[in-house]
Amino acid sequence: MRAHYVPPAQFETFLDPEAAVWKEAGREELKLEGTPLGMQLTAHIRAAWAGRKIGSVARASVAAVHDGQVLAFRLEWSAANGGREPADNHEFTDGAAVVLPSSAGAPIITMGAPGMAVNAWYWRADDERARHVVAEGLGSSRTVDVELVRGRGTWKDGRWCVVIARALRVDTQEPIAQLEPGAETGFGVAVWDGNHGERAGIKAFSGPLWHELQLDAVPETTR
Amino acid sequence: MGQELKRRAGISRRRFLIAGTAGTASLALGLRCLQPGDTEALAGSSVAPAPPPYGDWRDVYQERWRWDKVVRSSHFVNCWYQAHCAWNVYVKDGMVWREEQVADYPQTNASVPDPNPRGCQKGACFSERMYDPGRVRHPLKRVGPRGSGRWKRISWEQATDEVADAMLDTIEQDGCDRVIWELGPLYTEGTMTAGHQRLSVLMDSTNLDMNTEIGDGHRGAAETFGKISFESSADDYFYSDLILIWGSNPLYTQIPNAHYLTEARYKGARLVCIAPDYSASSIHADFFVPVKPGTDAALGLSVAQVLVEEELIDRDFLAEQTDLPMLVRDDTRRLLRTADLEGSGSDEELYFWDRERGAVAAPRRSLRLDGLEPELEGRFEVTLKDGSRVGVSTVFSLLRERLAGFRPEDASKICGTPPALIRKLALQLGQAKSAAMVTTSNMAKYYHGNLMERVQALVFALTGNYGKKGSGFVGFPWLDHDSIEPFVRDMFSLSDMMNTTALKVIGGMVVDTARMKLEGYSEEMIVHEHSRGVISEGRMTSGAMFWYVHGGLLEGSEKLEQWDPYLKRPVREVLDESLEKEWQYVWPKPGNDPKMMLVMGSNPLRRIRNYPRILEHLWPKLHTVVTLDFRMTSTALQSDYVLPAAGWYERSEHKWATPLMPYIHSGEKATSYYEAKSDWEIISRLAMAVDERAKARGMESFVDRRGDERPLHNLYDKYSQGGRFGPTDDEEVCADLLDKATNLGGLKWPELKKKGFARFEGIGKSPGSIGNATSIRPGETITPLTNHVFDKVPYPTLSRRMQFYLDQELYLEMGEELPMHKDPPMAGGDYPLMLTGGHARWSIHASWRDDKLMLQQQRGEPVVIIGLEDAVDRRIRDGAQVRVFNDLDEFQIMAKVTPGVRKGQLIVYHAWENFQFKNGKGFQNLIPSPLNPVELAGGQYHLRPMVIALQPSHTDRDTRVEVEPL
Amino acid sequence: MEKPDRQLAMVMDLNKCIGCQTCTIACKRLWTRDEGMEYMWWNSVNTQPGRGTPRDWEEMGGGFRDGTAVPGKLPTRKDFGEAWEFNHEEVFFGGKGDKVHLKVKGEEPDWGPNWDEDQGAGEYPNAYYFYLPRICNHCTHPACLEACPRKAIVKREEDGIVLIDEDRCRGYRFCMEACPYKKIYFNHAEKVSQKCIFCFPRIEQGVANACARQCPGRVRFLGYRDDEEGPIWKLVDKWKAALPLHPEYGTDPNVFYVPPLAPPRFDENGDVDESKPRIPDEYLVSLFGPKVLDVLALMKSEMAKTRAGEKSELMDLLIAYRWKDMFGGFDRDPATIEWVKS
Repeated sequence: MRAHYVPPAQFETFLDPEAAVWKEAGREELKLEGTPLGMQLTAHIRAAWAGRKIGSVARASVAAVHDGQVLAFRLEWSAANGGREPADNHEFTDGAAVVLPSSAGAPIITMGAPGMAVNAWYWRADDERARHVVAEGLGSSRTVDVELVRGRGTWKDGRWCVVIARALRVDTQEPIAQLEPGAETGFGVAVWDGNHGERAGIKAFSGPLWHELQLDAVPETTR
Repeated sequence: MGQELKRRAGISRRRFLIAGTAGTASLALGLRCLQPGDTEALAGSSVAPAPPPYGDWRDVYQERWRWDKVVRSSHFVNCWYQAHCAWNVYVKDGMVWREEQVADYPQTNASVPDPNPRGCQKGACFSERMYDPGRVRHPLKRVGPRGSGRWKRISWEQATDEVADAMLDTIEQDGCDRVIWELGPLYTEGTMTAGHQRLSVLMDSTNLDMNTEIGDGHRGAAETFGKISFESSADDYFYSDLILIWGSNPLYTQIPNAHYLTEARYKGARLVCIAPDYSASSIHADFFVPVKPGTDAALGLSVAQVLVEEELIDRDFLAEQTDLPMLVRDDTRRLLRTADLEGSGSDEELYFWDRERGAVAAPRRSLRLDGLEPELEGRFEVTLKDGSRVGVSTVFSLLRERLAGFRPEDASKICGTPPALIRKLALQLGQAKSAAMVTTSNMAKYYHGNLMERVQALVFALTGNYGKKGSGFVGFPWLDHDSIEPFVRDMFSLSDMMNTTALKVIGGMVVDTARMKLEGYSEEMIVHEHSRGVISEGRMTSGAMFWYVHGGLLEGSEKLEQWDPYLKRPVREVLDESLEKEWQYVWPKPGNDPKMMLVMGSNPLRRIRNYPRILEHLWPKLHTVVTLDFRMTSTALQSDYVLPAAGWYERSEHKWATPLMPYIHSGEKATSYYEAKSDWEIISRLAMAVDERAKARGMESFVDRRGDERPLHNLYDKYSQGGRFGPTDDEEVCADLLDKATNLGGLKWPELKKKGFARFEGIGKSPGSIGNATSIRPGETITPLTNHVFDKVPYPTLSRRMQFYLDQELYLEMGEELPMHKDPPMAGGDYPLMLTGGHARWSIHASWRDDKLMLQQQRGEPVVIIGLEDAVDRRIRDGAQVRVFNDLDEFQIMAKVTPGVRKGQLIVYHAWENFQFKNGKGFQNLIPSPLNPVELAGGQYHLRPMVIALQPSHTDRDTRVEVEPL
Repeated sequence: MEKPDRQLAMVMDLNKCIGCQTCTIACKRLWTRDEGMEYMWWNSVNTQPGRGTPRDWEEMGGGFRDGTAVPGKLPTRKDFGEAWEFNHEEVFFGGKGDKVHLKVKGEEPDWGPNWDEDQGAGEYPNAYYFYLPRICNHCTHPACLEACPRKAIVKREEDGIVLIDEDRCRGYRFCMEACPYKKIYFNHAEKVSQKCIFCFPRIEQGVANACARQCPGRVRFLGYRDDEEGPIWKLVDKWKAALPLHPEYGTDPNVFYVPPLAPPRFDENGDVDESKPRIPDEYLVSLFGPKVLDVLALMKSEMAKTRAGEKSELMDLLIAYRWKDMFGGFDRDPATIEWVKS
């Protein structure tokens, strides 16, 4: 997939899924699959989900743009309702994440491995902030900040449109993905259907292998 | 509140969102958990460093458990049988954050458990209650019709000026006795009482004695013992081998004491619960003895029958301590008196039959028989002073005849208790080394409660279960410091005292103490005579009589002929006779309408059975109704002024106690709340305002209820003793009250307020407390009545003994000369269900009835508890709204269905506020509280009314109703 | 999971519990006052038999069977009971007279944490019930801890207290599902799961838990399981007088109960019938396992001893002549702590 270059814009602009920048971005339909039962982290989760469908969202439409400073992903999928705040204990919220390798060779299927982190940009419908997460293996994810990644979701006509964005490069010691125009990176997406009780490792994801993302180079003329 | 405190603590969970990234490792760090051995070292230290921050979410919890200061306090409400508990009040940022028990009481001795920690769920959330939306923040004046809930905020100055003017108007236009003080369960006998007593004495106002009206009159105890106040300490149960929970539900109503029962059981005592329902107190009993409500007398008489038949009785005890050997004339059914036999004889001296000497006037100055040997049983003949012969029988012989009709098989038909179980109970009682009774003021809330209590007293007497450790039928628990009266007297100078007016005003002082001593009156009897003076002179008047006469409540007795098959003539006729013969009194006198009511820490419109009559009859006569309370109540809602009183952590105070927990408890002001003021301060400011307004109006004096002229011009000067006790001198008043007490061992206020509690060292001389008739010794539990049982001090009764035979006219008329069972009246009409009640687990009176946390632990609204069988018959399901009705009215309530309640009984627990019911129609609406004419008795030595006892009462347990689903 | 070095435990004597809920309120006032915590009762007391808190929790699964995790349900807020708010202002100051009365705001209440108080089972006069106080069991084999995919739940090495790390918790609620005792609540404001913390800030200062120290019934004993001088070892291991609730749930709780006795029942003629107990044995076995019958027999025989005037160490322990002896050394008076500002 290509992350189209767009002229420099306010960060805020990207967060509007109806913004003009998104008109130019090519959308790609990604087929999603449930995470395997055997990979769920605890016996309890495996027992509770045995025989139940994991990953109720089958596909998502994904687009990406960058302006040389900010990389933004736009995810869209159909969702029965846009309930944000779960009112009760048995109700969960919808969520989405984009995962990037922090270092070459980091496996996506296990959310990284010790010494080989992955970097997730995580949005949840009940939280105004998006989280910047690193993980080095299943169950190891931790939030490194809640400022750098921004996300915004809009639910309309039975569909979630969620934009998740971050600066390409970030000054930090944390093992996150550092990006640059013209480069290529792997990526994956995950979607949680709250109505279906999905949370944590119970989710739909874009498969055990990285998808490719080619960031456009910044055109000469604008340099 | 929670959020507010949290914000101020400057800490939020989110703060650690990022910081706590180290995961599980950080939790395992810092092994700060102490080894048991370490804590002793810690306990000695008074200063702890602030714990090092964890740097993660745990600091939220750590921060919570921090405070700025700790103040000792208590809850100065009438918790009655479970009063009181010492609490540490934790203050944070100027607000009370929470409370926790002090829990530092000593063991009385090594053979009984210590009382710690005491406390209950209600006390544990007063810190929440004191900030809840029911609090009164400012003086309020009604701007809509009464009950409309439309108020305006006024200044304290305006409030006290207007109330003072209303008092002066009343005095000027109608008379001082038309100003009524309504006193309730928040009455402390500390600063609040000190202020109120001073002002009401100076203005000769009428104070309502509400003890019998609320149903705590223990008439049966008074009839038998000549007093109602005598109770054990809760740790005394540890010397019992049989404990009868009879007429009470201590698991609800004695929460801090209840452990003594469960623990005494482990010590080897048998615990028996006698109750209509499988109550909470039944669950820890060794036997549950089911009994139909209102038939305990039949059960008790049957127990007595078995005891007598099986000869399980203590004849020596009966001969010495009771009137059972006394002689009763066959012809008149009256006790034989020396006046019957001798020209110079007395109407108060009675006879027994000495084995050697025949009829002998029983000793009156001591219970010692000094070699006399009274026959317990027999029929004899005596020669009257006119020479005629008359047959006489001992009370015991008459009793034996009476008991013949109560064999277990007979009694079972009345009380529903299986005959075998009655026998078992009787044998256990007869064989017990020391049998105790746990009761509350439940029997007294039955129309025939006096009969039930007389029977209860009897079975303990038959078995000699009085005076020894761990034994006894008990009356009403009261133990107080005796300094209110001296504090009131201190207002008067020597010259005031020379002027008998002041003495009359104080009431009891009209009594000739010296004469009584000559006549062999015990100290207790002399105190009782003072107490009787307070009633006859009108400083206090019977609340029950007041509401019957002035409040329209007698209406509830109009159908009594249909309800009570034993009734001989209309109650109103007996009432008139009683007032005419001065058997009973009421102030103001009938025909003189009350005009103004000051309600202090009380809630009559919630409390009084059939209260709609009060609103209908009395309220329109009152030009001014003032409520002093910390919270809005059913009565506050119907008042013209509501004055915000300080909550219990907002003032310095101490409170009366009971022998069950024989400690005085105190509180030091921990914080303040808006414009709320202590009752002492409110009354002081009112006294000031009366003084100033009287001057402004040119009123120099007024005429008191005896027609004597009394000064008004120096009222505040007298009240404050020349300024010695100013409006905010609560602590000085506390100190003076302690200094004046004879039974606190010289305890000083600074010491008490620091510690929060101190053990009484004696029963003192107050009328409420002296009846305990025992000593309070360090290292010993308290057993009442030892003065009588061991020191042979006479009981304050006509016979000077425990008296089971009463021959006052009304008793003879009603056939109640001996303990008897009578079927309960069908109060409210011929309906199949008895609407009973009892004090609740969830509130002390109404003080926590509308508390959010307490309601969350119940059903959020009032409930009527109905047995499974009755519910099924009526297609009532648990949780359904039902209509309860009788001849008087109806109300709507949620049904709670339980298999623990028997067919024919409903329970609505105590003190739901009227405003918790739809249309304000509460369950009290259905309770006619008919007046039992026998309670109008008087005249005879010990049946004359005194403070808290021997006045007519209000009752509710006999109320008949039907219920249907809505 | 490593076994902790030591384990703190509690014994609750159901023959002393009076159902007063002072423990419940003590806990509420200390820990669960914040927004999001209103409906939480980390300590609850229910009348048994009954539906309990949360409603029908015993039918919600969780825990382990033969060592295998059992799926569980998430109790709803209604199952726990909503934290009702009331219309005091309207009633007192609203100017509406008796047209309004005090009531729960919003929906009419139909369940609460103590809704079936004192109802129980049976038929009069053989009705029966008792009180069952519950906190988090701080299990030796905590299903909550094992269910959490984020390893946000820890069992402290030093004392075995089980805590939810609220920084790591992301509100996934697998712990709530997995806890067979349903003693975990979800905080909808903070979006984390929360539960009894065994008063760790108090414990760390040598002060007994609020629920234990404030219990006027003197029901709760506290201490290290292995402290042979303390009450827990004596009651649980020496006398074997206290049992865990629902041992079949497989989590190995560290709260133990002295099971309830009851007065004898009556036969059809109304005579005392000692041939079978008022509380059916099967019911108590269903709660405490088959050993409960041995404990009841033990209690009866020790009570018979004291009734005959003999000594019984077990009875003396349960009486607790000196209240502080109940707390296994954690008997410091909290008011003696004067915090120095950090």
